[in-house]
Amino acid sequence: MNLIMMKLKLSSKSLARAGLKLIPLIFILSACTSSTAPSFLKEDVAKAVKDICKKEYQLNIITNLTGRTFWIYMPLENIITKPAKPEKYIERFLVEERKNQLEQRILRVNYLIKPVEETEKQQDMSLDKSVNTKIFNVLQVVRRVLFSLDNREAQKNPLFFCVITADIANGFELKQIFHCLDLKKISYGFISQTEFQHRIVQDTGVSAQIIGDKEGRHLVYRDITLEEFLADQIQGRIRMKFQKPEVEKNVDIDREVLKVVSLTLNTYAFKDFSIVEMTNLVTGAKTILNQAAISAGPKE
Amino acid sequence: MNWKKIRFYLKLHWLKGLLFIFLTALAISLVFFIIIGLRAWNESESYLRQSQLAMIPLQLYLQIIMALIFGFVYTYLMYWLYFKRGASSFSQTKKKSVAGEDIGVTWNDVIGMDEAKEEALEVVKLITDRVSLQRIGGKILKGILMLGPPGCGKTYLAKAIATETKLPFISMSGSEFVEMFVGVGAGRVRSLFKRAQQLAELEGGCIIFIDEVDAIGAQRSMDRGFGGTTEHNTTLNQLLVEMDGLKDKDYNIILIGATNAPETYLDPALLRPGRFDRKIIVDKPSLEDREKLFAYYLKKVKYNAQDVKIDRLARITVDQTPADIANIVREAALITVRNKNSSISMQEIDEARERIALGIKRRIKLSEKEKWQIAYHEAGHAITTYLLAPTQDVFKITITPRGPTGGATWTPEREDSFIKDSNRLFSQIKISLGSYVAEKIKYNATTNGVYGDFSKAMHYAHQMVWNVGMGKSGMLGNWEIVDKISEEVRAKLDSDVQDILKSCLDEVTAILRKEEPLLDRLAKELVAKNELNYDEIEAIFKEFGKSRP
Repeated sequence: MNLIMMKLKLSSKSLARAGLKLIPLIFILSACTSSTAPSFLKEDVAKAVKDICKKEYQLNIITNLTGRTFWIYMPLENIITKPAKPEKYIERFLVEERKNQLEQRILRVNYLIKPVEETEKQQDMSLDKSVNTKIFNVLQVVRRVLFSLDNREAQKNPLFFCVITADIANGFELKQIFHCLDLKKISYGFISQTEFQHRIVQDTGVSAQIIGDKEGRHLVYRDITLEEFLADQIQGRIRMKFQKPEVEKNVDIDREVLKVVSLTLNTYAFKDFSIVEMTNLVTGAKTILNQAAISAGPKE
Repeated sequence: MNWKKIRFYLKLHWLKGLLFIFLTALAISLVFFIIIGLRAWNESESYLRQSQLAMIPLQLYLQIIMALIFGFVYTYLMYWLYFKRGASSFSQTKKKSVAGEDIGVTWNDVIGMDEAKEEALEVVKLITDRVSLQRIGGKILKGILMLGPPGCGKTYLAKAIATETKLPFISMSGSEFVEMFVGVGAGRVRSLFKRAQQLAELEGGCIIFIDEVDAIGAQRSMDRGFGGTTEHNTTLNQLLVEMDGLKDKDYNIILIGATNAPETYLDPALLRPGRFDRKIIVDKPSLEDREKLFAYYLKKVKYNAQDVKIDRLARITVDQTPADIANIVREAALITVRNKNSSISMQEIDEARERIALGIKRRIKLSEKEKWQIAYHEAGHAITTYLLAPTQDVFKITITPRGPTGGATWTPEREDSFIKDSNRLFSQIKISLGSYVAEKIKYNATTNGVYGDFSKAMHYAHQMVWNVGMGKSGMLGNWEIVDKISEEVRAKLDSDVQDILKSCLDEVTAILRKEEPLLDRLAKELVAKNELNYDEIEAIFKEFGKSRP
């Protein structure tokens, strides 16, 4: 018995010593086994997003990486509903859509904005709540994957991603183009939610081709350029500024448009243009500004 | 059998076993959690890992700062606990000793207390000749108690003893032992004596001086339940033990205590031989002492020797302490500077005496009626003093408000006196009542200005009857110390007090009625001039055929 006790005593001491020696070893081993390598490769982006969406959110999406633009097609049904409590707003301006163009280093901004008598309006149709959740989930997945790409090849990584939410029952689709950097900025709180919304290029389309298109066959996948994105964002920002007005009725429209142009180009530090040609289609006034004038912005 | 041994082993080593189990569980759980953590880490997307890694430098930086702060606090706490004795440091005295030679109060600096100085000199010899005293079997001196009114130089004498003996000197005030924490007083006494013992071993002796020793040396009493008395008793008990307790070694530590309180106020145990062996009475200076003091203090300032007569100064400062005398000279120097004079003259000294005795003038605007009332009040005092108290000078009369009073009659003693006979006590009562009578004669109404005078008169009359058997009924004895007095006796004593007051009142009334023209004259002069000096007062009295030797 004494022998056992003695052995036990000895073994407990040696065990404690071994334990003390083991602790640094555990830490070293854990440091060695921990990985900091990128989780995804650029080539796997499309598959990874698709798989995660399927696995974690049971979403069947079609993905495609063309150049530096990542396309996500999400076929759903009945995405538009009549809201229970329609959002009301005051209409002060009549805004007609005009396509902006940035070609041969000239940005052409055409706008047709007419002040009208103030009337209260309401948004009759909106996206279904579940659709919004699905878009949010897709964005979460995109975020996880795009952020976990190898940063050493950042120049080759996707610059834009486009989420197309299609109502294959009614032939309607919502196209949202995001700049990847904007997603990063909103994720880490560098920009506000409103600003993020302003930076998304949104477009809607109605087509019979969409009906029953689960594979996104009607889509033409292409690489979106920064010029195109900026021209469209300016258009979107002008629409948001005047349609659900963020400005007063007697505001200087030309000046407000110039503010939008200047803000958009400066936000992305875009310098690859010579002049901006702003045409007010209501008055016919044309304003031409050079890069320096745009950088400086409108004078207060 | 084996089971018994296991139980015995467990009984002996249960704590070790428990610790072993705990540490093993800790190690296993550590490995387990590390594995889980690693798995989660490796399974997470790289951007999450990068976010975590990005936070590490900042976290590390903050942790280092926190560790430094914690380390500093912990180190200081440990230092305080082990080197500063932690919470018990409250009971430590931080008093530093001063080497006897560094005190710089020599024997020659001690002036105006020749008797006390002689006693102290003997003490110094006993301290320095300790070895020879022990050789013949004599007991070494443990303590000296200095008694006397404030400002008479007790601390000064103690410093001189320390300088003369060349021993380290630790000075403390009795109130420094008193703290809100129980046991702190006793702790501080222990700490003080411990420090003194160390110094005594190093330097051959040490002098501890406790000023206002009555703060800890007052008579012990029963605690009434609040603990304060117990704390005081404990502090005193510790002092008694330290002075003459059971110790393995006798150190050459001499405790000098000083107090203004009467000897009877102190605990008898403190006063017994073996503790405070010697008592030195440091009393107010005599005429010769005052002369020496004035000479000493005036030597340090520039004064007009032709004008300032030291012997006269000594005569007119009866009952003044050395501190008062120093104050008079200091105040006179300030007045001289303010008057833009080059040296102190008698005028400045008189002004200084007046300011110290009567207080600073107050800027109160009195009405004409009030001025007359005060003038008659003060004239009443002046006439009764002049006619009934030959030992007091009527030095100054003023109706300018000074200190707490509306006016004042300054009547310093002409010469030192230590006892008061019944005539003197009667005259004090009459002087006090002079104001009341004067007001009554002139206005047939009196003011509340007599409050202080009545208190004084009552005090003397009460003392005469209750303490020293001077009542008319012939009741003898000190009735204050008797616990139970019959109502009959009390009534008799009170009647005697009133009898004294009434007889004095009648006499003063008769005098002042007789001297009414003098009263009017003095009052008139006072209202006109506000203040009358010694010479002016003497001149008025002479005018009415009154003079004093």
